[in-house]
Amino acid sequence: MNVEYFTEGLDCLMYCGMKLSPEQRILVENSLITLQNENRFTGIYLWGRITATKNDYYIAFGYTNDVLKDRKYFYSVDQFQWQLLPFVQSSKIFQATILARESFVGDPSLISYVKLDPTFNVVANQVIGVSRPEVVKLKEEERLAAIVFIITEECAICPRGALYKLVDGRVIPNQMFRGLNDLQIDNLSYYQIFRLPRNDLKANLAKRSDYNYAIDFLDTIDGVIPLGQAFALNLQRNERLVIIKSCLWLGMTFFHKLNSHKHGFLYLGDGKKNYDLLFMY
Amino acid sequence: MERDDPDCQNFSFGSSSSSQSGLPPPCPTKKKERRQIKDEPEAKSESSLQCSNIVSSSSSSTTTITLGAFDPECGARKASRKEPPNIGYELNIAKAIMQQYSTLSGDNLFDHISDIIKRVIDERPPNVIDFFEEFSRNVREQKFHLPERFPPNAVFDETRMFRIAKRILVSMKLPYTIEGDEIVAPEDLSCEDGKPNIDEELRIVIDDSMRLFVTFNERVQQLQFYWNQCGFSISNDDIFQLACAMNRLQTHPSIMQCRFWGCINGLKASYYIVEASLTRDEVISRLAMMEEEMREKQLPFKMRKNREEKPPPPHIGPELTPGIYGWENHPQEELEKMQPKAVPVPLVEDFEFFDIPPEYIGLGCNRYSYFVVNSLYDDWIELPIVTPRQIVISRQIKKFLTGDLEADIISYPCFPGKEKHYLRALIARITAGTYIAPQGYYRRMTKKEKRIFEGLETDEGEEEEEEEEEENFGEGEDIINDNDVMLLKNERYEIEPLGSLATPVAWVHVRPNILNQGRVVWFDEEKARKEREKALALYLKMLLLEEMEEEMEEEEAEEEDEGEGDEEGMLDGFTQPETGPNILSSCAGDMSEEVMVPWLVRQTSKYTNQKERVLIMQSNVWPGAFTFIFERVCESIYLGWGHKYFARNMPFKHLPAVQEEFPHTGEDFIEASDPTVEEEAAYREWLLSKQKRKEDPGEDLNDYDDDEFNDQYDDADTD
Repeated sequence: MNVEYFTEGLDCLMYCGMKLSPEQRILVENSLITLQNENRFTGIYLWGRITATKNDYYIAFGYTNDVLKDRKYFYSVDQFQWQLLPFVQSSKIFQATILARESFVGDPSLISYVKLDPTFNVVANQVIGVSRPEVVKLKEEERLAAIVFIITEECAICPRGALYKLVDGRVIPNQMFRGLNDLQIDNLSYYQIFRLPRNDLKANLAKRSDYNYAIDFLDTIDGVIPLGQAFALNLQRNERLVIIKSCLWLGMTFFHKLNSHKHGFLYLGDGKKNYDLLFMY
Repeated sequence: MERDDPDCQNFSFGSSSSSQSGLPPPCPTKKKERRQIKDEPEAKSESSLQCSNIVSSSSSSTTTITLGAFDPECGARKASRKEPPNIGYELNIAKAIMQQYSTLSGDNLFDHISDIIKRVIDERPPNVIDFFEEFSRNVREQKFHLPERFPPNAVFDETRMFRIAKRILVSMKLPYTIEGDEIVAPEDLSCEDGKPNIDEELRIVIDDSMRLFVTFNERVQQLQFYWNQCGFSISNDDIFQLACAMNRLQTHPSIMQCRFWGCINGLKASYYIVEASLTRDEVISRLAMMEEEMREKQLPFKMRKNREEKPPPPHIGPELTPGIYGWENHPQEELEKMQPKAVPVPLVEDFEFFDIPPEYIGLGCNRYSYFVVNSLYDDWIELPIVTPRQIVISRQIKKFLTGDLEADIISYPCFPGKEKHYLRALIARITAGTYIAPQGYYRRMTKKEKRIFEGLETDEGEEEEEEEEEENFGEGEDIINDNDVMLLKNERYEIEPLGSLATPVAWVHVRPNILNQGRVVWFDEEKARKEREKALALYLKMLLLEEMEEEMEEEEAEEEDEGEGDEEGMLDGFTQPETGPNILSSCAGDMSEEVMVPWLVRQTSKYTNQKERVLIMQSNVWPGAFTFIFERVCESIYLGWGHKYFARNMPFKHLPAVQEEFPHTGEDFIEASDPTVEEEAAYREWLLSKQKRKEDPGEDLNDYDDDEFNDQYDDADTD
């Protein structure tokens, strides 16, 4: 959620039941503005909070040139000192993050050991050999970075038209964005995933008749699997505010105000994926 | 083109005139010149068709530019006829090209660009060049928008917001009516005023005695302040509506006290939940109904009075065919002797199944009743009571609530009830698991208070009856566990420093634990089963007595001996009652395999005065359950999805193995060869002869149709 309308955004997101206490809000908001100035970011966003047993992690990100490719993530345990989250590339770490059962502790330097799934050698539909399950050393900081990346990839949302692709390929927030209107607001195909598109550009454009190259390059959330079950859309406040909650990562909430450019997402949760989703409808 | 169209000309004239009136004319002479130009092309329409377009089409927004552009051009125009290299003339041509109307949208580029330029200058959007396409699209889009209320006397469309706004206003019961809605509030008020006249004294007595037992904090707006401090709450807009809605509930005569329980998210709507305890009168009146129903349910099938006699199923299948063709010609006596060719279809047998009975209203899990609402301006809906089976099954499944109370729960194992029952079971489980308070904050009732609470001291007959009833219930339950009590606030509770409270050891559970069985008080199933058997035996004996003669009595005596033997056996088969943690047991003992740290301790702030801080206990077992304490205010609330924590995924119960097929014998499959042509012919003849026989004595029937029908029907049968 953009720091520009921090308090208002938090108010809107309260429909998930949680928000920040006054002290946290003041600390986070002001320290983020400071962070933005120190790093010369064009925009800075609060990403959310991951509950841990000792201290909660607060996550934020900022961008300078490109809001999708050029993001830098920060985390903080005391709400005002922000550290850069490492960029995780190894697939082992991602695997281990997905498999880790324990909740976060709140100590970034803590190291835990996670046993990966065994790998099978399959030839012609026959299992030939099973490798010993590998044990991976997982630092909590890296686990945090991986989980933040995964959650953002899977369920961070923005309304259609909020991001704009420039002629040179950069993506920036659309300053001409005036919000979705009455007819569009409860339609899932007007919301896009806040990540580099994974679908083919043509596929994304072909979804709508009134496509626009500069806007419709992102994947829309109505195509997220399981279809129609990954997100729950609600209208609140005299139906002037749309709230979309992710069912896959409980705690991810998105808001958008009718006919205004204000929108944002925030994750307040324990970093646990809802693996039971398919049994829950 | 457009010039021929009178409407278009009118429009252009109108707009140009209005723009001129809006702007201070630079000099009156120019106005004249423009008029002239306008007249000119009409005269020479063939020669300069394109030039004519320039003038006749001028939208409102273009005028600022055209006015300026026209001056030199118009002056030069007259001269331009002679000299070919002429800027003014060529400008006119260029403009005319841009002003060509699109045949699709009736728009032209010149107007559009001038609109854009006007908007840029008026609004000064930042970095407009980067978003130029988008901006241009916006401008174009807005051009097509009708002005508001256009035309002025047309039908005004109701917006969605209006619908809701109206409902909110109605729900607040304002003293005047909003158009189109009748308000029932005045009637309600009169009812409430009228009633106390009759039994005013009685009511007051009860109220006084019960005032002691009000432990709920009803002031949501005050609590909202603490919730806001703690960093969890419902929306600020909603809290006022919630206070109004709760007030509506609280003034209801059958409710003693109520408090905001929390909020459970649903996919389409969330539930706001209020916990309420009913007044004693209400409880008594409900108990009377419930008790009867429960007794009926515990009876064996054969003893039930209103047991429905199911009609035997209509005859389908092989038992219909006792012989070969034409069996219906045989007399009835012969038919009875005939043997059907195959085994009859097996019938469904009644299967006796007895649930563990739910706890009575006002006891155990059903001590409080819960009211829910999707949106705060609606009327509160009371949830049904919870049964042990629902609690047990709800522990094995995990579902999203939809927001519709009547929605089906599709799950395995099958959940006995609708979504409202599931919601009620969830509420019971969450309440039992997450309601905590510091040690010494609540206390048990003293004996005297208990007697007042149960209404022993009042002399009214009703109360005594209730007491008797309660004793009756006690019979079914072997052990009266003191878990099932209502706690009172301890007046002598001393404020403890937050430092000493910041550990789960200092906290105790204040709501009774629900056993694995799904009840707070253990129910001895084995004993109930034996009692049922005994009751059934006795009942059958009574029936026999009525029918049989005295000779049989001796045998009955023997049977009685057997019955006594059973009783002895019952003592042997005494089962150990299931136990769980007691009420007021410490939270430090909460352990499970899934959750390592069951409670998170948080303080709202680190940098303020020690006395301003609020301590929060956050449950990890039920994410979303919070309890806060600030001096003497300690409250629990739940705001979440209603899912219990699982480290990874829920261990769902597997489907059972596929059932075995019905055991068939060789006789079930008798193969018969298809009838030959001769046989079929014979069959038809037989049918015809049958037909004739019918017709002979009777009236004229429509043979053809009848024949056809019978034919088909019989064919199907014999196949």
